Amino acid sequence: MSSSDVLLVDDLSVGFNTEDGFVEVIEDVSFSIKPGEVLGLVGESGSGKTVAAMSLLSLLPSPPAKRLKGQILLGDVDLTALNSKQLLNYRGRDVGYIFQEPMNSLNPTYKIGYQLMEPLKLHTNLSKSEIRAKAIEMLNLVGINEPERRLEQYPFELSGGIRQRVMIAMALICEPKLLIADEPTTALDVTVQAQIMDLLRNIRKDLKTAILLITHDMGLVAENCDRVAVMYAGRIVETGSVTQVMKSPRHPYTKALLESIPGIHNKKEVLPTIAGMVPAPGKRPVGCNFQDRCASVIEKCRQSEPVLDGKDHRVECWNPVS
Amino acid sequence: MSKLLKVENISKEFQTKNKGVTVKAVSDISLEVKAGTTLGIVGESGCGKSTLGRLILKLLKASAGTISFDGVELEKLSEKELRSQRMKMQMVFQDPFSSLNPRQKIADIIREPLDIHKVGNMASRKKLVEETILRVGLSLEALERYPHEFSGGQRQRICIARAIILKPKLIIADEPVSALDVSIQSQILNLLSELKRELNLTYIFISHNLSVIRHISDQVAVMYLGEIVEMADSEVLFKNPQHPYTKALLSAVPQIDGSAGAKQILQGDLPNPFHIPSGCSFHPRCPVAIEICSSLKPALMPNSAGESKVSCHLINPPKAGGK
Repeated sequence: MSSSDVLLVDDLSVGFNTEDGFVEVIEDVSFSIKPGEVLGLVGESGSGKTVAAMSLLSLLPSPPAKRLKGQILLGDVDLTALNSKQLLNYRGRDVGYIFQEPMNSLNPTYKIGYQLMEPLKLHTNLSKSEIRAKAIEMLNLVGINEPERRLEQYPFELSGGIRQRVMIAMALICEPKLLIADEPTTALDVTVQAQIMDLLRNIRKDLKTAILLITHDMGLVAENCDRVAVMYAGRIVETGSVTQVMKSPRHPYTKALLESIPGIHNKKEVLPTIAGMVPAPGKRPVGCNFQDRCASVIEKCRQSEPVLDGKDHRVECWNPVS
Repeated sequence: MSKLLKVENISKEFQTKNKGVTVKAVSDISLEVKAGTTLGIVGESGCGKSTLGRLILKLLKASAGTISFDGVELEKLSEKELRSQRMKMQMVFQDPFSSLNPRQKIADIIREPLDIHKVGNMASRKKLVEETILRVGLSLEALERYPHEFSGGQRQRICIARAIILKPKLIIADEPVSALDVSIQSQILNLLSELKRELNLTYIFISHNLSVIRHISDQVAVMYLGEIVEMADSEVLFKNPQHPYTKALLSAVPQIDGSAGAKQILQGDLPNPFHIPSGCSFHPRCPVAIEICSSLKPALMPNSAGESKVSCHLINPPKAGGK
């Protein structure tokens, strides 16, 4: 633990009350992000990436969501100790959040300008004209033409790429220390995705914003992140620098996942696969969650839960790839 | 190898509700598919790739152009004759959650094509259903269950079973793995490859995912705003892309091994299909456009090496004075 971290998440577990009782969805999740760093949180659907991210600012409706344990430090502030009113001071000001669906995350009944200026109205004492000037500046920064005209438009008048740029402008308008980007390009075409990722790279360089990039796309992680945390069935199973994890993955899941992705430059006749499916929350086995799909499973995996082990490159496995 | 499918100059215009404004979803596309091969159609959303797939199956009626399938011109067939041709051409859709009837048991879903086309008797249909479900990697117990009990990958297997049960010659798969996680995606891609070999299938594989297209295709057509801008053997296209749009598209795909190199970032969004730019429809976003690109529409022609067909003035310079 280092005091220079923008965000430090320690041993976070979150679950939901359901008809079948309480189900733990993310277990013992720990990670940290330094200023200006991009951490990739990668995993398949249902691995708990979004639950982990939304828990940081208590964005999940509670009930049914409930934090079981864990600490979330934003700088020196323990977010878990704040009440809902105090949290409002941090949402949008210290932490910006880009949601997955640019199509659904803007309010269709308000103009872009109103939605974009809202965080400034809430968090700053700027005058109306200063707020408007800042909004125009942000739209310029995210590469939107004719910003004055855009302020007067409604979301339905904009394309998906432009809407996502507006979302990014809104998330960054208070110059947060941390930007959480939850699948920011999943709904977009590849050429537009390339534009948005280029934009995020520039913002990080210019504003020194730390970014938590949540994605299922290993390629995006490889090209945009400094460090990566791989999630599987609610747990971080491997974490390290992008080079370490991508070039020499130590968890059998990470390795198999990387191999199963068809490459654009080399053609494999048969794609390696991972047999079976991710166990559902509440139906996870005793021991390692990956045991039933793992090619290098040993007896110990079925008896006790592995712990995240190692210094920089950490892996949660009893029989890691050497 | 013989040509299974030949599409000539096919176009599709959609009328809008207000005052007969038309949108050209597919314009003047010609292509051929040899039996036993896979044609990959790749492009971004709204480029017309799904419309093209539906036109080929005659799920949509073309505004112009002809399709001949297995030596038969589909235009000339009556509804009834078309229906019997359709036995040989089947479709797998993108969303395995909405393309299965939630109230039907899996056995009924997979058997339905046999019922419709009156193939065999009840006993032989049952046997065929059982063989097919096993063939796609599910167990016999699956037959008595309902779609909601299955995961996305399993449902896509059911959709594939329904598509292959009539032993078709051609399968059009429209984004069949887009809704699936990568570890499941590779299972389905492998299944499609195995089935192709065993049943001697021909695929038209529609996807926005270039890596998937590269993996599965023998030939690839790249679409932009309703037109094919480049078409070549998969190996050639991915090693040596010609059209500036293909190059930008390939460079935009993030690669895990860092092999993508410097990104070529296109400016702007896809133009509104109501207002397709003049000349080459890609020219407003093209990094290397020259003057003629905004006025003269390039034709899809073989390049000088003869390996690829490309519609670009810079690859195939227009003849002087030619219009």
